[in-house]
Amino acid sequence: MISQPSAIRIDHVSKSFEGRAVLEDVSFEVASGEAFCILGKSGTGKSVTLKLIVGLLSPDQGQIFIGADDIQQLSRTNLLRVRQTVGFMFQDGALFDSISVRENIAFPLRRHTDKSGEEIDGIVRGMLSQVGLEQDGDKMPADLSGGMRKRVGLARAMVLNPPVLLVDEPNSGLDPVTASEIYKLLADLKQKQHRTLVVVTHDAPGVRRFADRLGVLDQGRMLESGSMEQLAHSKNDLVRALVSPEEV
Amino acid sequence: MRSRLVNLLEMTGDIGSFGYRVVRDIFHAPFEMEEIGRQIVEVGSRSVPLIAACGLAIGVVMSLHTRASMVRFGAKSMIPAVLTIAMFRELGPLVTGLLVSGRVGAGIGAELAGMRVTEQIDALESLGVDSFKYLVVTRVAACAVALPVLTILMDFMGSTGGLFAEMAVSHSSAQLYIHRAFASMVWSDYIPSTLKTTVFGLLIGTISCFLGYTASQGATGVGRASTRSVVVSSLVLIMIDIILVKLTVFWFPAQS
Repeated sequence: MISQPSAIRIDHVSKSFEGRAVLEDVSFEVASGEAFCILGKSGTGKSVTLKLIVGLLSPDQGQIFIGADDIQQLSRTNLLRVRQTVGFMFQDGALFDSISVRENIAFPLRRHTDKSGEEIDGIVRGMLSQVGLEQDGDKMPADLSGGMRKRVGLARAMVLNPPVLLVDEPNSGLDPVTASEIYKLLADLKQKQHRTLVVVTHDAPGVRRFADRLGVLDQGRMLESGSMEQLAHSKNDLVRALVSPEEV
Repeated sequence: MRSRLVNLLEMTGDIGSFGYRVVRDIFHAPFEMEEIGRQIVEVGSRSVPLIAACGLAIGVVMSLHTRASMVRFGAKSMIPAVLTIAMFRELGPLVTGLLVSGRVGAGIGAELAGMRVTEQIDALESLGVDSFKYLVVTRVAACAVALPVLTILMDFMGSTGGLFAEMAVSHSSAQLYIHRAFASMVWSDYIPSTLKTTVFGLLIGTISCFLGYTASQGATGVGRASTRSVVVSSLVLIMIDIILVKLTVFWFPAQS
């Protein structure tokens, strides 16, 4: 059997800030086309893990691979090139607040492709339609609700068609209905477009519809990883509480 | 006291290495010309009303003050020359630098700090864009280009203010005023002093970008970056001005 390289691989990674360890010896792999969700309480290093994956932060120890690329060994130019293959949806959208929704989504296309203005307009219209914001392209980010900002963030992260998508807390600050809409979009990306997803959340029931595997982070350590069913029967109380909160 | 000194030295070193990175990156592709153009409009065009109004006011006020002194020595006819030389050599460049550090420095500091705390800078990086080049190098370059142009505007508006004041007070003709103002001017009265504002632009841009780009601590950090951008860049600008004036006097002794 020929082994395929993982889409993402984290090898014994540690990270601390001002002497406080945030991640300690964390390792996991995400196969191509897989949806891996990192669960954990607030402040356990989940978002830091995502930022480490795309090189926004550097680990104190360990290695991080995107495909076959060890991102710490890449030159700045190559790191920027590799980042174009990984979409990142930030917790609050992180939209550029000086330009419209339409321009936010068009921004990566204008930067990294030779597409004409008309082609870009067409792609942006398609993305807006995909996230249900056809009528909101001319709005400024300040005029959007939290859920809309996240959906625009998702559209911008996906517009270059990256095979991998990192998602930071897709449901934070959202009502259950809006959160469900975001989860549905992520499920479509996984099931219809076969994207690799790494989703950071504390909402296990929400990601149930698309997560292949989950990993539980606590105090900077990966406690356990496995399928939803495996973790639901874990001997660790915290793991069970995070995976099946309704049974606790 | 000691920790304040250490912090000051640390910040000086950090700004120095940040500035070195700006100078290094400014000559390497991609050059982000479109964004530099947009920033020149932001820094330059939008400062024009402020610079023009201040220049005019300074010219009028300087003329009135100078007149009071010169009349005592029977040197009324020297007023246009004194005023114009003072404006071109020092007042124009320094006041333009301070005004831009207030208007633009605070804006850059707040804008970049806001982008940092709302993860917009991380978002740029995650989209494969070099945020340092796109946000910092472009703004510093725009400041360096815009400052000399704004200084020339300030100089001419100051001279115009002086002309209006003199015409109103002494009823002298505009032609005579302009002749007296520029007859004794030599190139070293305006070229070095205008060119030194490129250094002012580099300083204002670098310091403001540094404080904004490295901001933290949420909304407090944004406010702090904005205020410190104005305070630090104004202080540094004044201190560097002393050195640059001394160098000008040293290099152009005949005209000094």
